[in-house]
Amino acid sequence: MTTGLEVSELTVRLSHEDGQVVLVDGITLGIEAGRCLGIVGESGCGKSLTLRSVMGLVPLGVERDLSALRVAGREVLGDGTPPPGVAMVFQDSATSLNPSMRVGSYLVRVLRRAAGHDARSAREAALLLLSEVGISHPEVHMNAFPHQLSGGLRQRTAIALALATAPAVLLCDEPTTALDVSTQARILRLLRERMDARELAMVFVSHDMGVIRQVADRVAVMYAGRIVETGSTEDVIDRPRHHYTRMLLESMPANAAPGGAFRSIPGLPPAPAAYVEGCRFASRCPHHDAGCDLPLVGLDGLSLEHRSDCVHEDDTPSREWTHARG
Amino acid sequence: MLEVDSLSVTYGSRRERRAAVPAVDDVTFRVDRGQIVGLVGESGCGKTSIARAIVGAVPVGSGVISLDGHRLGPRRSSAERRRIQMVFQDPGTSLDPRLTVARTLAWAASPGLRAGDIADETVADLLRQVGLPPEVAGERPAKLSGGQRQRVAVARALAAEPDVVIADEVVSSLDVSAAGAVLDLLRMISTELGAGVLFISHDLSVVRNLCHRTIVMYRGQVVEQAPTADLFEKPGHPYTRALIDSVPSVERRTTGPVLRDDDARADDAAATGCRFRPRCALATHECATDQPALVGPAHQVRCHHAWTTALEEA
Amino acid sequence: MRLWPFGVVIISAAVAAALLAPWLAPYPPGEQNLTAINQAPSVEHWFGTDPLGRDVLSRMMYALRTDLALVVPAAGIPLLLGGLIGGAAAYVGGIFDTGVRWALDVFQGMPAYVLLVALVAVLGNGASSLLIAFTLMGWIVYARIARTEVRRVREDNYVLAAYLSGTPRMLVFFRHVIPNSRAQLMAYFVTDMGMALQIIAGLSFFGLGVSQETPELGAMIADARLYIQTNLWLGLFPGVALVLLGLSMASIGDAMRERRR
Repeated sequence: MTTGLEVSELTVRLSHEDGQVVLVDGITLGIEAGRCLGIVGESGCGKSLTLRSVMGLVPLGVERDLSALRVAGREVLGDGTPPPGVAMVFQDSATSLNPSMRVGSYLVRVLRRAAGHDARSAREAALLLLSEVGISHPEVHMNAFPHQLSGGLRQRTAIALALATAPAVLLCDEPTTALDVSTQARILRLLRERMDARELAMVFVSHDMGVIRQVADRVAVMYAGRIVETGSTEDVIDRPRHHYTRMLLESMPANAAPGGAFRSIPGLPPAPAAYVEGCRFASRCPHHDAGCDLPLVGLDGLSLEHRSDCVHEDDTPSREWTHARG
Repeated sequence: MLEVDSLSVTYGSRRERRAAVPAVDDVTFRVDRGQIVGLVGESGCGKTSIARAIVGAVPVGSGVISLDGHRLGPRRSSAERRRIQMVFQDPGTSLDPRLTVARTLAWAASPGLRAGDIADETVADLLRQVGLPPEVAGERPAKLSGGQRQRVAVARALAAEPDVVIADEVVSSLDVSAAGAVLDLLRMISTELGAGVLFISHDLSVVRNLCHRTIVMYRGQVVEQAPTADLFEKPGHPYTRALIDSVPSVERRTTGPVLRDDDARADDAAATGCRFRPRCALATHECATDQPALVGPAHQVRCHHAWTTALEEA
Repeated sequence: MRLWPFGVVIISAAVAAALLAPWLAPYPPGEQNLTAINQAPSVEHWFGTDPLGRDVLSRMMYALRTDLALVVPAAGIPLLLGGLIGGAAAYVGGIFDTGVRWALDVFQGMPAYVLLVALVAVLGNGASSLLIAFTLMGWIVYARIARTEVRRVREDNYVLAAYLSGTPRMLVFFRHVIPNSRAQLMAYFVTDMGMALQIIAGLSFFGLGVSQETPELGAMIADARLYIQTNLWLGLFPGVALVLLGLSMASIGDAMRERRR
């Protein structure tokens, strides 16, 4: 396989006055070119932080540590600045656009700096990029300020901006969460199309299993700073092995039986200071026993097999979450 | 019960209002006792404006809001206000950050100056109703998770013993693991307490399993209104169909057509005729000239081509 | 580096010295000892003595009493007045708000400090004329801050929720809106006390402050300027105290502003 992105043993720590807490606990993941890895989990599980750390965008007081970072087969582990060949799209597209510049001027500037265009060819390239992301009147669009655009158009512009550097890897951090459903459907479609056309290796972070189903070829489920289940999208969603994955699917309102009770996962994810060596979901899991407290070795996110680190994975009923729908 | 009759809301100064397109345009519906009514549409379609008009937080342009036949004006007495409660989207700003949960609930139960009279049992009772442990009473919102805060907000609404609860996107900023509990509470409000619930959401997958009736809004107008099962089984308006198809299914990757981009430049073109026309695959000449009316008895649709599918058309 | 903890220590010491002056001061502030004039610091007179043989340390402690007693209302009365006017205007809105906004703009256009000095000159010396001048010129900034903060807090959903609970509007304002808007006001209040202290001392220096008899830091510096070549101590200690107090209040005010929410 041609690896697009490979991240090995990523650990993210937060230092504070009385020591350190580990926020992301030595995870390894990767995705081939032309495919999409979805990372899913509750808020606070470290999924966004993982993505930002790959990009080198960590907040003050947070340090990242990884043993390898490969983009298109090349080691790019640097000094923590954004690695070459990697671009990112954020949930809040306004943050990636310059509010005081017309989107065209900004795009042209990025193109001139990143791809060495002159003013004229940069403008042409910008128009091309904007039509590539499905903007119907690119000439008019170039003159708009970000605040004049709808959320969907802003996100399209942000995607064009990300593609301007001709990246091999595109990292997407909840890019559709703030959008309306119909806009979301279009943006997801656009991202898949661009991924296929440009042979991008894509990593897509979302809290919504439905969205993950739409974009991802493979899925990594994160819980409390670790990957707890990984496999193809079909395997993980249709035949979840980890009780956390299963309960997450069951708690989706769409999966409740019509008129039946809604499910939820009792309790809250643990705080990073309370992370244990054994299964971190055990405290909320109805199936936990003494075996769950044994230390776990992390899952290898580069493996293509369907795996979970649940001790009781063999007795997780497949597709139980669809019971209501038949 | 709660009746909203020909409600219109327009924002801006007096001069601006004359020219502006109303945020809410001639909307009529009712929420019966024990009923959960869903109000769906994309952002900017006017659903939050309806909620705020119903509670009296934005001025009503025209139309009547009444509760059990009693008309609610812009200046409402304390007792009138208590009959309609609201739960908000963002649990972050919906609770006073300086107050403990107990204080928030006590003041909601007894809004006058004599909140000290509210016994701890009342607070404990409210917490029990929303499934929170009594220890939460002493906490401030910063210490609580989003799901817990949202449950406190529901408890605050219940403290007023309301006839109607308006839930405005109450689960959209929660994790799915916490959303179920809040939705169950809304259902409990309708079945056990017998209050009406107006559930505002952009997420049709939630509406489907929760609401008895569903109202679909587009650009300030109701475009379809029906019992939820009917609406999902045989949606009449092309916009409703597009919304249903847009919900990302967890079961399969959807490959059908997606709704066309919302093109702001097409707005003026839609000033006459059907407002959805610029994005509609079924649009004909008639749609450009005549604005369709909302027709039908129980299942109402505002479309010249109701129930026509794109396939038949092609 | 965080400066505000030093500020807190200095202010506390100053407040303690001022409050306890009658018990702590080694000599009565007005007691003249003509056998020991213009002395340098010594064991008997830590900060030395002035040309009338009065103990500088004792006089400074009483001067702090005078100054702090003036500074708190000089910033506090404008805080209450401006906070209430600006806050109420933003909360009620409508014509009232428009009127207040005009008033703010008009006052904003005036050279505040020049007017303040002029006002004191017209009204005559004394504490009450100082306070009137400070209130007239000071409420504007508070009103402005209060207006901005209340406009922000007013939109928070808990305010609407409290109103829907049946709480009277007035009570919503005092229970929810004011407590959640006051952080910035308090931060400015502390900074403002520092500025008021400098201005009061400055006015006294020019003989426009409180009466000549009362010990006051600015007046002490003014008296000392004649002896700057022979007895440097005389002006040095009150001057340093003035600078330290101003710095402390400014640093605490800054820290409060940064900590917002």
